[in-house]
Amino acid sequence: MAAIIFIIILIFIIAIQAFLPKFLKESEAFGIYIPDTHVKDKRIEHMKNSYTKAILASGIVILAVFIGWLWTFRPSEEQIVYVGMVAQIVALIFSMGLYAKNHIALANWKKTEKWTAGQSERKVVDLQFREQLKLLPSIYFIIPMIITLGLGILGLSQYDTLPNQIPTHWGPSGEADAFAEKSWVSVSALPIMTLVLQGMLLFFNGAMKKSGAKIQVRHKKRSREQQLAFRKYSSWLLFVVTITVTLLMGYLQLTIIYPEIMSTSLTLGFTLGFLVVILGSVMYYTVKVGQSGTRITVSEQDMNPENVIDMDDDQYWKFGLFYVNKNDPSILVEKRFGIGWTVNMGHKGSWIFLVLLFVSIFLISTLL
Amino acid sequence: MFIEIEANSAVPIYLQLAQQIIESVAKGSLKPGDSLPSVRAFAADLGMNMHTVNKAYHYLEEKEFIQIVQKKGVFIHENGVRKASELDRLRLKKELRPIIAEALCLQLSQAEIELLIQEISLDLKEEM
Repeated sequence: MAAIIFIIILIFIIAIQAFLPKFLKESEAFGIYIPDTHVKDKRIEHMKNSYTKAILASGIVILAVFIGWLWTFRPSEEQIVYVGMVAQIVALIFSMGLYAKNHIALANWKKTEKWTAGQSERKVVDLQFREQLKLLPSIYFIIPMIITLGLGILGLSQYDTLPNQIPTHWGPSGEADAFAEKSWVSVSALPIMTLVLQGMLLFFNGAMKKSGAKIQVRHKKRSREQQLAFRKYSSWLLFVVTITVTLLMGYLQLTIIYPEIMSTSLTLGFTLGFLVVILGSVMYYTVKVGQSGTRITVSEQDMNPENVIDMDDDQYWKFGLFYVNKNDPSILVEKRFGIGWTVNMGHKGSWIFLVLLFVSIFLISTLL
Repeated sequence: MFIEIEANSAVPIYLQLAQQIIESVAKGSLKPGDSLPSVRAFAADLGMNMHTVNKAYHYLEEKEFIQIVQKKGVFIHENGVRKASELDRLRLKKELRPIIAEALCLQLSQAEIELLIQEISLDLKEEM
């Protein structure tokens, strides 16, 4: 079972990494801002294609080695989990290495050939963007938190009847495989962890509302429609995640309180359902919406003014991956190389958020 | 309603913001009572400091083009389009002075200056 899950996740990671350039804005390649005058540059196209091929080839090798290892050694579940993680990390390291090489090469071309010279750099703002933005209201994220809170209180209220060993971890086949002594911490650990995650999703949804819109000067209407759609779908994706997490964790919490309802097949069903829904939603989000909504077609035509390009903000993107801009009040910004969002490291709020997150993870793992 | 800022212009960003908003009011694409983004949202969209937007808003507020209502938002002032008062007239005269001076240095005749003014007003109305 663990083997199948790891193979699916590995294929998923490799496929998304390999085809990533196809789902990104054409005005950004390998973390570098590409002005409109150069988006059709053959070298960039070639670079993207060879990146895809190299990641696919390396991915197939990693998968083959992993499956070969499973086949010949028939390892235990625990070994599969460790080696499976290592395989994922190796795949990611390889793609990051290739990314770095391309990032540096592109930055050099852009600099030596002066791609932005002779063009007027513009920043466009749509004054009505916030009025047209349709994100899910916070209440959609607060209700699941209330449910989790209720389950947490239910657990504590049944404290005396609970068994002395509280499961804290479930193996890939749905059996609890790690336990902790009964205490108020171990009984509440699962709901608290869920609440932290749900709180994070609530925070993301709110931060997305405040995130700056990136309207492109040569494609004002198109980029506006795509941004609006991207944010709407992002909000829905967060909602899908919060619902599935609430269901899975809620179920596990109920099996702790009422061990008699526990069944391996039900646990397995919940876990697999969780995996399928999350991977499916991410797949839909990536392929149908694309980063910044690039895969959404907009019927409205733009006039394409000459001699203007979008403002070059490469200086705020360290390695093209980390956004650091002290002036920008956005906490969340759209990723440059990747699907989804990243935090503005130049904003105090991002640091407070990251510290809170790590402190809560640390507290949960040490208290158990 | 889009507004466009030139990143490497000699005109400060706050002034560009203010001028673009005034231009939109002149064209009629922004009408009295229309709302403008909050300072924070505007600054986020620009990827710039909130101070810049604040400065633009205060500049516009002083000229009575916008109204900042605490906790409610920012709106185009009800008197955004109005008959010029004596004070407005004096201010405009003062602001025009350096431009006219420059035109005279460039040896533009009065007729040529008037032609320029006509062209600009026509341009502002045409885009309506």
